Amino acid sequence: MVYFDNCDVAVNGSGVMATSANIQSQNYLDPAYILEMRGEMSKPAADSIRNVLNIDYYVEVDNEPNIEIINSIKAFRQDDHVAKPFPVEVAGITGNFYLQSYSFAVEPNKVTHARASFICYDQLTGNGDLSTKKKGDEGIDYNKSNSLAHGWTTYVASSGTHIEVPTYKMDYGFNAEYKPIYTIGRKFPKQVQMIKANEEIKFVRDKYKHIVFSGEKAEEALPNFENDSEADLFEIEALCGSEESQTNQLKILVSGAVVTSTAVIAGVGKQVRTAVSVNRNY
Amino acid sequence: MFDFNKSPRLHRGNQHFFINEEEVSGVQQVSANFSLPIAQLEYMGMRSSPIEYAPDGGFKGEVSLGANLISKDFFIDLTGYSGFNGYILKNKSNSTENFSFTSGYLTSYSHKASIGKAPTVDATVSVLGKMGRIPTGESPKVTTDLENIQNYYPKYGSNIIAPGSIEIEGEGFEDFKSNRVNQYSIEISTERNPIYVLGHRYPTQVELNYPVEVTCKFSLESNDIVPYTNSDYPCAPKNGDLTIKLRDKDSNAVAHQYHFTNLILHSQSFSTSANGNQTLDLSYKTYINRP
Repeated sequence: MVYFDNCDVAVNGSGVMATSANIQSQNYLDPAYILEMRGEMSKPAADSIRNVLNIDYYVEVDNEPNIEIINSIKAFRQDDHVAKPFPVEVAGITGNFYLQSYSFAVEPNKVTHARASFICYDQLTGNGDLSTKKKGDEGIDYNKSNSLAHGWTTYVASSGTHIEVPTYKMDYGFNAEYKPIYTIGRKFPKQVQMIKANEEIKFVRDKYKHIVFSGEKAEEALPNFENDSEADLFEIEALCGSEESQTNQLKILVSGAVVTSTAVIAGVGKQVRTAVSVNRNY
Repeated sequence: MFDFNKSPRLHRGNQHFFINEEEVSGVQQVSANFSLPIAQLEYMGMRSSPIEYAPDGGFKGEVSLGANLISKDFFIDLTGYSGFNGYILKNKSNSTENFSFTSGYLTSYSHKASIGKAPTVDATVSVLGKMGRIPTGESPKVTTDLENIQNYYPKYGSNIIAPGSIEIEGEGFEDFKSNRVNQYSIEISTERNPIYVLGHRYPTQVELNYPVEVTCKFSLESNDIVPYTNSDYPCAPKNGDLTIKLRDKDSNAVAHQYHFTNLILHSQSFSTSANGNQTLDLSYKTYINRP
């Protein structure tokens, strides 16, 4: 029997500090009915086999393989349309996966958690026997630099205005859409194309901004982004003053994004908040 | 050999409790505690990795105090918006050796008086800043407080309140004069809502949760009071405005006065026994909205 502490989770070769992970392989079957038969005649395949993998994990600012993957996707369309898969492993089951969604929420007083969802159109590999003591690769090293992202050390934006223009929560989301290209005679796709991707960032604050026109830039709608359009996630150790800890960071760039929605959120017993969502497409 | 008779001990004579720069008189006990927001990280594959911890939550401390009401009621004014610092010092001239807290906010206030006892005040303080030994230069406010404490002389004379010098009056409470009130209490619940923002460990703002609930309880030995009947609600609720005056037993001057409006009876307890008189316990509530 494999317990969680002996079950490795790695994305593109880097161990991530996952709190949950699951892989689901799905057969898309469509029952075929014909005249003359009351029951189904057979179960022909409606689509190819897909493997979907979800991981929830703590974000480390100097070891975040999914942000590296996102950055490669964001740069990707300038080259060609063939998407590049990345190896992902859970409990010794591995496959070449495409990142289809990624999100994290930064909240005050909390360690930052991310959720990533991958899709694989190929055959998974690995020994599926979970009755052994351990599943995974001995070489995977976790929490190499103790660089957890935290609400205490996330600054929106980094120019020192995070107190004057307070942000109560920041949500980051990335979605990508792929199209597997199948050919006659092949069970698995010949290639996988990336169709489109987008980033959405939501800031919960207490200043409402009317949407004035379509295509309004984030820098204009969010007061302290005029000169400094990024959010910086530092590790908790940055509070203790070591130089290295103050240089390790994840940057979330907001420049170039446009406002997609603004909202006022009110309820009994709560402060009235506003939410501004900005979006960038790739 | 260790001589216990000569070993240093801190007794009540060298414990002074200050709120900001003012010494609280009549303090019977103070207890302060905090817990750190430490959570052990558990993650898949962690097997032989070192145990790791991460902060999960904000800093929270609590101070509970009990005091006899012998001069000023130091806590009733703290039921509002304001936060405060607290210092426990061995002596006023040595502010370095302190046990202190910053950003304290009163979360509950209770004032009680009964036959045969001096009136007391109990308070609970939620500490949202620092707690422990705080450097004298921690902040300009701490520095100023500790400097002023060194030159502090009590501003308030003592008022001895005897049960016989307490008056309870007001519209709707007329029958309290002809029935013996054995004890009363005033409880004010002032829950706080600390506002945290990204990039900061301590709350940038602390809100008082409105409406503030006030509960006034009375225990009476019945003479001519008519017990309330539950079916009288909602057509004839028992309500009124209440004033409690505590007078100095020697000068008869009003030392403390509490006034609440729109109190409404919430519960009643009637009891009688072979060993005592018939008693009626009445509990009233009112709410204070945001000004």
